[in-house]
Amino acid sequence: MGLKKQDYAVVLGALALLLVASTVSMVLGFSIRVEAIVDLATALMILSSLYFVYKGVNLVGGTVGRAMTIVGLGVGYYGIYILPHLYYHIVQPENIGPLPAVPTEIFFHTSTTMVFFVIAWGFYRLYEGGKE
Amino acid sequence: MNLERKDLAVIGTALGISLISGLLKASGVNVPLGPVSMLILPAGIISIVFVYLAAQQYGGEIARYLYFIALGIGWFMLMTLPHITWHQSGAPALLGLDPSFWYVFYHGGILTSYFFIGYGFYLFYRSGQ
Repeated sequence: MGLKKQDYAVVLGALALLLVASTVSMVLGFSIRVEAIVDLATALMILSSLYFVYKGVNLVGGTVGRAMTIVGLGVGYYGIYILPHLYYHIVQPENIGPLPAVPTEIFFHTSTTMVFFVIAWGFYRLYEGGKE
Repeated sequence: MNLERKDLAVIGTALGISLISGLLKASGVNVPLGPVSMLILPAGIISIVFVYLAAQQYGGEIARYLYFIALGIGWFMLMTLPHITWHQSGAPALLGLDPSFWYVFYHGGILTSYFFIGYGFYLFYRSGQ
């Protein structure tokens, strides 16, 4: 594995924190309004990770840069629309803005799947590009 | 954006298929969402295979940030199906644990997955400096 010791600590720490936060929310009986703060934090986390996607793909060129641009586009697309998508499932509105909700939702749902093929393509290009 | 024509073709096809499925639904055709959603699995497996192969090939910092990005994407995909099912079944208590636990767990799960992805892209950015 190419991971360093501190990387394992970061991963396990994040997962442990997630379990702690969930347990605290249960024990203290947080209401839906407090839980919405989690969503706000999630949106902020997504935006800050997309910041580095943007910075990275602009900085790194060549084969690796191109492949990571494709991955970044997929990750970025998913990151931007995942929260409105979730709220659609929770609220189940009839319209999304001027658009009828169900076809829009089908578009989102299909693109959720398709975007993973774009990401897979990016990783494939990364692998192909590194062949000697 | 230094993309080549075939990259744009792949992205355009993905967008096109999504648009067509939405338009089909709007014109009254029933789009089988279940099977379509299941296509995430082959896409995920293809991604994991090429992340693994690319990481073997490049090694070093590239392998390191690839593993972080792949971990984030994989964690996200694992969480999504139970998460959606949970919301659709009315956000019940599960395994003796309160809905409040699951809400924070699932939504915080998205947060952690994007933390992993973001950290991976941060390492990617650093590698270019």
